[in-house]
Amino acid sequence: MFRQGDVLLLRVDDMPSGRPVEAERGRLVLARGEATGHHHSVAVEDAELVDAAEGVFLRVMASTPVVHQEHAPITLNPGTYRVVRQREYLPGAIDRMVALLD
Amino acid sequence: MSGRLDRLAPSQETRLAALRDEWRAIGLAAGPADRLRAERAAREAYRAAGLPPPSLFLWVRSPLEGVLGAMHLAVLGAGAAPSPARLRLAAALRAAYADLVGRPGGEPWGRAWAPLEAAPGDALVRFMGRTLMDSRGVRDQVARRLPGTVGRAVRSVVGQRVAEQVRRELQGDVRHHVLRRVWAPTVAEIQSRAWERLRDHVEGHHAGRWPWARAWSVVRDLYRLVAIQDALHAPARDRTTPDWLAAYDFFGSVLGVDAVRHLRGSMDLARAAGWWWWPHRGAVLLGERPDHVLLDDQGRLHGPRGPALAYPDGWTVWAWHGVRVPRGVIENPESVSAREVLAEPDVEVRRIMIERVGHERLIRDGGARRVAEDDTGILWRLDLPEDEPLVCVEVTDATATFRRYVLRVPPDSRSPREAVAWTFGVEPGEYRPIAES
Repeated sequence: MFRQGDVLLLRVDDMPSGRPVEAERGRLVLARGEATGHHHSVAVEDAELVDAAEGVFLRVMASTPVVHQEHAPITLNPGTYRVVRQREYLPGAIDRMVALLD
Repeated sequence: MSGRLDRLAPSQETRLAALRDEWRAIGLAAGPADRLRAERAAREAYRAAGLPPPSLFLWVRSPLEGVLGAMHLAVLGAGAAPSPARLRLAAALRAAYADLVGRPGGEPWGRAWAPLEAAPGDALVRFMGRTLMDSRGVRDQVARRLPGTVGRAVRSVVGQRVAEQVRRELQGDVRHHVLRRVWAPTVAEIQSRAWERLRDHVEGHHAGRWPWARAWSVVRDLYRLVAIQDALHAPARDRTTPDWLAAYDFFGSVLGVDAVRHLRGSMDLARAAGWWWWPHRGAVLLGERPDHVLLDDQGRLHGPRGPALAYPDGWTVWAWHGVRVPRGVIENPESVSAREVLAEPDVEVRRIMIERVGHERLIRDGGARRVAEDDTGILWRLDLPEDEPLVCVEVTDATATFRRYVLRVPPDSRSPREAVAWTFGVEPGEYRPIAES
């Protein structure tokens, strides 16, 4: 389990099938900051990124650093990871659900 | 087979959908009215109802101007020469209006207020004052009885099933998007913020004279007398709102019900100007459309950077996804203090304020309690009246710069670790990063 700022990378056994994410200027972008445009990314030659129903998954073929403009790089060993973006609690979630059910 | 239409053909259903879009657009339209066409349409509406056409068209530039202007005319114009008490009330109405549209004295008032600038005994003011008190018969005739007659003609041709379908797919949709989403909050804005301001001015103008509460009761009487309640809550009873007109339009132009032509005046008025108009005996008060209406993707009033609704006289409504909020919350959230947020009694408004002000500042300035601390960060809690508490985790970043940031987490979080684990959707026991940056 690795954390870089608001992104958590969890080791998983299998890579689910899904839509492959295209590289941008040789980088696979795991997550992007809305305001700053800063992003967490890896080099495309070392990894592949898939957008699946279960979430976003990253397969690392050779040890590679995850890079971000404001954080120190974190080196990932080969393997498959689930990419989890940090979320925030929204108040009134229960109210909204009740309203939908009514 | 009763002879009544009991099923729509596919081509008629297509027209139903097209009219829904058309009447929604009419109801939500912005920009200046075509005044000549609207006045012609108003005359036609009166004639169709068997009434002599109005001789005076009084244009107001916002619903607020309509409400306060009508009360002002009634105060000055009704009965004999106004007493000092009535003059004071008129001054309070003018001051409240100027205040609410952000126009200090000296600016032109526009036509609605023009008679008011004349001497209180002026003939035009007296005429308007009297006519505004005398609206009920006219309104009943134009906006209720005539459409009621047309409705009976429709029912003799159109079966229950088709009527239901039109009500559901056309009228209900237009009602939802125009009346519920936009008109209802506009009225609520007048009845809350504008009303409060008027009350302040009435109080101010009566300080040290006769009890302001008595003046305020006069305002309430006026409200009833000039039938503002009726005008504002027209959707409840009138049948000249876009939702009804859309249905009549369908029965007339698609199903060929001839009687619908009697409503041509009302329909044309809705197309040429706003549909917010107010018929009186001999005079009609016509409302301008807003300069702009901003909606979110669900059709709720939403102005992310400025007013969601702006009328040509300067009256504006600020709203965030359908919730009316004070101006500062939208345009200048950094000026809103934590104390103001915590003092906001309306839970919905407060939630928006919290979102706009930001959790970090609220935790810092709002007197939050430090619940727990561990190697993942600090858990803060701020109790909110009548709402779930604001619970946030201040996450520590293990980078060289050692940045901290604050995230809102479920109110039942007990430790920072549990809270941080939740933000990543993992169990607290599983949250063990072996490397962090």
